[in-house]
Amino acid sequence: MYSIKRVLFFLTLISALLPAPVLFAATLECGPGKPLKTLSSAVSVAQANDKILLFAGTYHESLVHIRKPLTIEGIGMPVIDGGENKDVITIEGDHISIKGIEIRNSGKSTSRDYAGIKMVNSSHCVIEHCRFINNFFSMHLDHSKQCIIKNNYLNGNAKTETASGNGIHIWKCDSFSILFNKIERHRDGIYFEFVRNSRIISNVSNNNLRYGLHFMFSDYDSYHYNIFSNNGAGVAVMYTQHIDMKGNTFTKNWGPTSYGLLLKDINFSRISGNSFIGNTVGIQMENANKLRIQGNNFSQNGWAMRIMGNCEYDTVVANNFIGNSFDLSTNSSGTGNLNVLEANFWDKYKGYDLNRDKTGDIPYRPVSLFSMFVESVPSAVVLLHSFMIDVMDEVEKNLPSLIPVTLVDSKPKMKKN
Amino acid sequence: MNSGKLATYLFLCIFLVACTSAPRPVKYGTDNCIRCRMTIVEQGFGAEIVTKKGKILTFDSIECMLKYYLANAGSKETYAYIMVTDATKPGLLIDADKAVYLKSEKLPSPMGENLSAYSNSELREKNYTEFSGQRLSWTELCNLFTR
Repeated sequence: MYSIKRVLFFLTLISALLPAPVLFAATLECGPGKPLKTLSSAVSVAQANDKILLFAGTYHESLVHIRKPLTIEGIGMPVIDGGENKDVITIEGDHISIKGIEIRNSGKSTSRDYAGIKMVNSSHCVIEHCRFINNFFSMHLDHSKQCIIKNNYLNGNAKTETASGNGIHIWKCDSFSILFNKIERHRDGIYFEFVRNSRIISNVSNNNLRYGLHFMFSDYDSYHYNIFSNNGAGVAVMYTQHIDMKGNTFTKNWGPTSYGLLLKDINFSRISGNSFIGNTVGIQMENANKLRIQGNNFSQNGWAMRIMGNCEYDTVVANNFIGNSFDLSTNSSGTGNLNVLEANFWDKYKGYDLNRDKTGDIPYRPVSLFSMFVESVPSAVVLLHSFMIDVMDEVEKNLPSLIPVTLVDSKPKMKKN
Repeated sequence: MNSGKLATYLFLCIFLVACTSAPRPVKYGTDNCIRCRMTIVEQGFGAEIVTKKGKILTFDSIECMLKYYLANAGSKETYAYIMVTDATKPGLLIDADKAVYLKSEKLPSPMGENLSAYSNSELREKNYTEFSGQRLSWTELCNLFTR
């Protein structure tokens, strides 16, 4: 049992060891009727580690530049209106937190990336519970590390792809956490270029003009339990490796060049437990190698998966394919030589299970002759479900001559995984 | 000139016109990049190759076009036009071999190589004084990516 005296002694000791600025940090009040009327004036008088309380109201300010460790906290959701003049707030420093404010109307430009919050050369920063309305880029973060972007709402009001920026644009950063944000109507919802060791968890990215999420040249990242729906071209993960994609939902990405998930030039990655529902193409794979695609649900897609001939050493195992027009399609009859397809459930499988081991006794070939035909003549898709096509597919299934014989599930499941 | 000859002549005229290969502006927000498949959106960076047969290949960046061009340099397909966008005049296509280039970390391009193109060196000088970087000609640029 510790005596009260002892506890007090330790508390005194701990507080004595804390750095002095933290102990003597001041709280500044800023707002209508307060001595400080503008955020920029509060930022310029504040000492390092101070806290600025920003009271409700509309502040017509832009180019607020924060270079010292500060906490800015909104009381009652104050609005900072940039008046379409360049960047609204710029963060350049360490330990800067922004919480509970609404940022509106950054500048727009074809040659400059103006943003609601721009972050450069910073670390240990937090942006949370903020709203970003009608900004060109909502957040433009570069050359920074170890920051958290949490619980924000972003709406870019984008009308054309060219006149809008990305929601959360991260470039050359390390160790970022993007959590619980809702992003809509930007060009790309979340954009990663040269970003490592970062995670994107439980975000919702809807109605963006191009991609809900866009990864390029970014390795060792993960995205889990996000929802991507109604985006112009779905989600793109390209020129990357070691990405872990788990439990996400990709839905309603319709259009001639639209995919639930576009994988291009990607290696050593894992795609598990995701749902692909109602997309033109669930997963499009080009030069995607050494991937493990396991336990995903594909339903009501035009094509559940399209695996191009240049994909090797991929494993597609224990997925469910239900109600897709085409389960699997490829552009080369050589595809499959080095890929493994096993223990998936295919609703089109018509085999039987005499030994009752829950696995079909005859193998299933998911690539239909008609799907190969459509690959070379896309407009032939109008013949889908016509009698002749069905006959042709059935004959080909029993006597394969044109479809890739090696792309076969030798142990198809009789029931859903 | 009898009507048969006239018809042949007219037919030839139309046929020859139809065969002319000419560049067209990149449709931003609609066209896809041939190489990286992305929808092309950044108006300061689009590029285009027109083959002698009139086929138009669009690219989202100078680097995508250049890598495609260098990878297919040995192929039978010959090119009528190779064009890039002047970074200071969004949407304007210029001849790639007559353009001058700047590679600058402070001017990121869509596919990560930080390349921008200009119609003349005065325009490039403006951005060079502001952003610094490496000044390149078309030949130097090709050499840089051939390694």
